[in-house]
Amino acid sequence: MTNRYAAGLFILMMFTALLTACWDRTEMNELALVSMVGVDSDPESNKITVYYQIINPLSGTSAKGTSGGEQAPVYTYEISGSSFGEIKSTIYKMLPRKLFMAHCKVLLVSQRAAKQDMRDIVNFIEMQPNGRSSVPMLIVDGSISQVMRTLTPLERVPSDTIDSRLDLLIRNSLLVGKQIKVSDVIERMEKSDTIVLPLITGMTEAPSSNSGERSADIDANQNNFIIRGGAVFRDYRMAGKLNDTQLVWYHLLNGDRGRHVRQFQVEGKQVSVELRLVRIKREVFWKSDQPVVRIRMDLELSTAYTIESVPKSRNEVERLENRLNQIIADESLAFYQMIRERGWDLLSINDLLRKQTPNHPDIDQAAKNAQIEIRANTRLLRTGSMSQPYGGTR
Amino acid sequence: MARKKQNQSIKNDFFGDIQSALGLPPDLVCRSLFVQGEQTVQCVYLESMVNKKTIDEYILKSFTENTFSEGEAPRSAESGFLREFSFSDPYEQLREHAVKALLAGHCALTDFARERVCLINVTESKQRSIEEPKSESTIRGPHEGFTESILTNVGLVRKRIPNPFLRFDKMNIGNQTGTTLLMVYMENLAPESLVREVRGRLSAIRTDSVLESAYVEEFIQDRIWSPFPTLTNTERPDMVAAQLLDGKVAVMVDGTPSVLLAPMTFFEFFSSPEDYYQRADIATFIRWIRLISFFTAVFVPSLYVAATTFHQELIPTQLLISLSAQREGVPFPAIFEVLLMEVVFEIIREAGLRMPRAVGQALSIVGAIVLGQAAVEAGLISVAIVIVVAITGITNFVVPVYSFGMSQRLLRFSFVLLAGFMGLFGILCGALFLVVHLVSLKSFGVPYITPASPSIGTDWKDVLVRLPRPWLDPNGLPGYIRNMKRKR
Repeated sequence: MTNRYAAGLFILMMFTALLTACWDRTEMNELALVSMVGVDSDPESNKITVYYQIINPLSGTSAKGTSGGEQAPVYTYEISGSSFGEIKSTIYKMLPRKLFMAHCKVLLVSQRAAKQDMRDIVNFIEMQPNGRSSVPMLIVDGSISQVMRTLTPLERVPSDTIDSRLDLLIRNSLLVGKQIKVSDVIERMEKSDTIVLPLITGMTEAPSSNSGERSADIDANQNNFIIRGGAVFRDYRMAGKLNDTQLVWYHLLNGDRGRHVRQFQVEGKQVSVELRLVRIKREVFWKSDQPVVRIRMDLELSTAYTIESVPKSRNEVERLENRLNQIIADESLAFYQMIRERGWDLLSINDLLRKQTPNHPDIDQAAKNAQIEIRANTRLLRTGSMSQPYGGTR
Repeated sequence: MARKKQNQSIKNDFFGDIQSALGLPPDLVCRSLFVQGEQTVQCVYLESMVNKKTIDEYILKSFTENTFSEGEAPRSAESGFLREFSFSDPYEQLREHAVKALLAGHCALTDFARERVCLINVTESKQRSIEEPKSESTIRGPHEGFTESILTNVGLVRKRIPNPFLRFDKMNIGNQTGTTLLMVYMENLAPESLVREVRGRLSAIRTDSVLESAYVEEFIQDRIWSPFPTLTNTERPDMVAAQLLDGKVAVMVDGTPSVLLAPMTFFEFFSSPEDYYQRADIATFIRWIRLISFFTAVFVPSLYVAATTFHQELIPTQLLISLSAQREGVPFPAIFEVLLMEVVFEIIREAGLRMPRAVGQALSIVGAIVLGQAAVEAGLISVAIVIVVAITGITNFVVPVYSFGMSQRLLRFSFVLLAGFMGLFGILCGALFLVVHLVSLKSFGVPYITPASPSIGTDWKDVLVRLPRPWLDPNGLPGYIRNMKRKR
């Protein structure tokens, strides 16, 4: 019995020799923790440049309790080559540690690279052994090398600032949608959807790479970057841009539920209203072989942030609601007209029709000719705490 | 005539024979009493074992007041234990009895006039007073602990269970020491099969000496090659009483305050008598703390090693940056750091036990701080390791049974090695192996991880939570004890 037990144990132990064991062990101080990756490609020379922003663990407080002092929190390594494969190995000409992508938080792609073809970039990210495709992908409007070399205020690591800004924007505005991760891009591009990715822009021409100088500057706008606008993608290529106003309608019509405050002109007065989508319903019916897509949005309104004019009676509230219904419907429709002219199926009408009539001979054409009816139904739920904003004797 | 002659020889030789049998001990005393100039009585005893006051006041005095021939047999007020042997018995046997009795603290009176030897129990047992056990102190609850005297221990248990069904089966084990062992159980509660099993295992012990209950434990435990104890030991009479009332069997060994209890299951090591002296919600909370502490003590160092050397992607980024900063400049791999610090900690702990009490505590605290801080400053280890070792060190002491804490220490080291070689996969393999081992263990016929497997629903009332007393079965035995009784 004991012998059998021992033999079993021995065989088990022999099997463990087949396993990858201590030789794939890596100590933490052998790793280069990549926090952000930037990709650029020059269409003329066909040269690819990859920026790796590596966290410097010794910046801030180190193990021995002494401060890292003036060391930069991140170092950006720039490496160029004719292919991504080549870059993978040539990076070690400069980098003394093993690239570790698992903690990469953001992927930036230059606008000119995005306009060519993103397939290679997406594949490059997917192929990283310890990489994650759940990182958001942003398009750089302007110079990518400038953004990759900008140190941001408050958050030591620039990728953290992008990550948390995206998070806050998703919740507190309708400027950024949820589906901006590399995996979403792949999934939706494979379905030939049109998608929008956030645009990021550097704010200075010559960013300071000295963290000491950076922290001494009070103006947070000076050396920073801003998330502004969206890049429209079709078939792995950037096809155009949306501005912030258009992004609001894009996200609203696609069912994003962030709160967004916007100023409307109602009966000659300015009113700031916070919008929140409660539900959206999209129906298709056919009118003499023409598809009609009816979109109905239920929105919650709040005038809590309004200081211009506050509705004071039931009548005023109703008037405001009706007026806003009209404005929202009109502006959304105008937005739709704009994207239809440019041939972007940003509302996934194509997909909607395909789901309803899978056997239709020419879905694409039908989608192009589809008539759209948008109806908004708003309800003012919160009017704010001030019935009469302070105005003095004016 | 022949008898007269034999008496004469006894008179001359008895003390000498005993002296030679015991090898001229320094504490052997022989006091002779003369009546009318003739030696009639010899009182022989071992000074170190007897109460001399009793001998003087109750035995020797009676000879001066009455003649031995007239009076009754000598009385011993305290002992009440007297055995007589006649000179007509075989001399060898007589001497053997006398030697044994002397060693057990009797005094031997050789009455030449009436041709007999009386053995009178005048033992004065050297024992300390009843104190609170040091390793099992409690805030609320009795502060009495067992002592080295088995009779005192019996008294302490009897005091708590004044019940005619309380049984003490006596055995003597050890060819050289002949140590007294008592198997204690409640006849009406303990399953017969369990009592039979314990008795069988105890009577199968073949050894020269038993100086502590651990000697017995090693003989009667279920499996030698296991880090888990299948019996527990305690110095607390209230714990023994509670377990006896649960139908378990206790083994008391003379000369040690540790009493063995069997059977024990894995989850019972997480409960302590104090659980029942606290309100149910508090007891439940503390029990959870113990469970968490067990897993922390066993797994934290290995998880640290696995996460930092194989699975850095599992660590939150900020923590990884800070850990990585701490490791800058540290020359050794994480597994080596952990092993180094764990071994150092074990050394400090072991040294702390042996050190003189006056310096022990101060020195161990200073040692730990200086060693930890100095090692970090010298760049030998990272700060996180000190935290990991400190956490495991502290959590290791949370478990109420010391022997179970020892098994945690063994497990911890093996898991660290597994994590160092194979990362989380190694820990998983180890954990599965551990589960298989636990499931295969039995303690006196009881599956070790009862009531988890085999599942006994009613027992869960007192495992992960301790339900309030009114909700517990008022005369409920543990489910596995009930099952054993039913099988009978």
